[in-house]
Amino acid sequence: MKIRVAIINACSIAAIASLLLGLAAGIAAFAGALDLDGFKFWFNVSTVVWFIASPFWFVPGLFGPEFAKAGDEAWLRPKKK
Amino acid sequence: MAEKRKTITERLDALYEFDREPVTTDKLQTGRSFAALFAGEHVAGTEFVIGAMFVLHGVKATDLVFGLLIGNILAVLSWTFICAPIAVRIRLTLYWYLRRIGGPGVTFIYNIANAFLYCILAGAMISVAATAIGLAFDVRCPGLNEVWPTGAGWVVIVLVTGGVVTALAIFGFERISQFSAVCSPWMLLVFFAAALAVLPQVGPFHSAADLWELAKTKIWSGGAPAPGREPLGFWHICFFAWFCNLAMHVDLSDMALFRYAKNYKSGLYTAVGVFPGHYMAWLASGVMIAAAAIVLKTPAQDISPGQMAWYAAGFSGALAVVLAGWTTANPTMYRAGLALQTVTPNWPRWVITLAAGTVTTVFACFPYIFMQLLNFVAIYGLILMPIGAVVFAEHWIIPRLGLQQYRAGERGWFVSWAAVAAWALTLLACWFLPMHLFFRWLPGWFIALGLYLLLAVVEDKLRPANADAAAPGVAS
Repeated sequence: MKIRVAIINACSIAAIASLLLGLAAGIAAFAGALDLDGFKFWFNVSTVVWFIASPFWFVPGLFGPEFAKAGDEAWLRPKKK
Repeated sequence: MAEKRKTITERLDALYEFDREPVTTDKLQTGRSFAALFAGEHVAGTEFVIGAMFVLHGVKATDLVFGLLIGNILAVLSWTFICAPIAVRIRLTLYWYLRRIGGPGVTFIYNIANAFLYCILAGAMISVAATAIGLAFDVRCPGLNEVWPTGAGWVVIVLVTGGVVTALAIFGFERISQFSAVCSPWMLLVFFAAALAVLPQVGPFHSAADLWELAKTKIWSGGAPAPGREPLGFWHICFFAWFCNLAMHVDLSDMALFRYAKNYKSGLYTAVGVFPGHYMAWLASGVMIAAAAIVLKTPAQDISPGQMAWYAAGFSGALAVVLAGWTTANPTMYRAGLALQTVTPNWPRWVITLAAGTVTTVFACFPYIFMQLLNFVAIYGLILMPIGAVVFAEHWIIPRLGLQQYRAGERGWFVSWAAVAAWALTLLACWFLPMHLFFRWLPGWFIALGLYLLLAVVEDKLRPANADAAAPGVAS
């Protein structure tokens, strides 16, 4: 169970980091520090990481009942009352 | 006839059986739950088109920025002060509340109208998604000014896209809802980051004042609209932002959500979804289309949503167009299937969804639907608007007039003719109102309210209790 909780926690951090990466790429291009092709590259990286990581964070139940259960104990998941 | 009515009533009721009872207090949700629910709720594939359309209609930057601001505030207030107060007092879905007010006959007509409108809306979303898929196969996709299919390649891509969306709606609706939740934060980021990234392509800027100047002169210049487009001003924008979710707030379909609210103030949480989706995303797609037109040296109206997103964010942009269209077309198609289930004699759900998907896919082949998206959104809200007024009148005004509330439910009517006549006459009146389509719903709402109150008084006199015994088993 612990390993699954750790995977969900790691994925939630990776997912947030991927969004920040995409945002940073946009801001860098806006500020002229990155050209449009550079923005597209980093944004695509952000997209790939997001779609690999976020399902574990958002819908752990997709990966089986064990993950669903682990989701209740993960950091950034809604807690059952 | 009475038997047929009974069958329709039973079929309708069976569909909505799971939410027949008012929500109990232990099921009420916190404000945080509503904030989470609404976040990302209003980011669909159509946002790529709507924001770009404003550019084509030659709107001015100030009109757009302030029009959207005021319109979205009005929309949030409509959720808070029109929809949520009724929902938290009654704690039923619109379906069950309308059944008490108008009888099963009115819910039946409402469902059919809704299903048809849902199919057109889902069709627009599939068209938008197909413009991105077409890029991968080098198929000429329609721009924002085309009416007819652009060729066999386009039709094939739409048919395949529509087929996949339909199949997914049949087999995995629940999984797709979960997948939509995964897509929402990323989708918002695509709009925001891509618009930021392409801004330097529109022109040079060194300060906020430069940026505003750029917006006023290069993006929303207020110049002549594109061929075949009419000019839109502040009030058009304001009303558009207000009515684009009319079906949900003034027409009350979001009672289904707010019946779980602790109080009407939960309506304010809709701002969490509306402002990113109907403000930021529309401004962002306007920036993207303007930048794409400048860099690609192509008139904005000749650029498809897929091309625009590909130019601004590459693969991620095209993926966003596909996913935004797909994840919103699916629930829309599912709802259409649900609504149609009431008129089909015992067809299984998959057959109905297939039928709805086929109709939707045929609609999607014609770019005219997304080309006329602004007008369609207006018509969609307008058609259902009288029902919102009828429910509002029955809930708040009828008791003050000393009339019995919920006469259809209490007296076992199959249909309240007052509701049906108010609906039809209001739409007829709206047709002739001498004003722009975007504005008609507002006077129309008051016309519907007045007509219903008048006709309800007459109907009350003409149809005393138990006069209509033709619909056994329909009393609430």
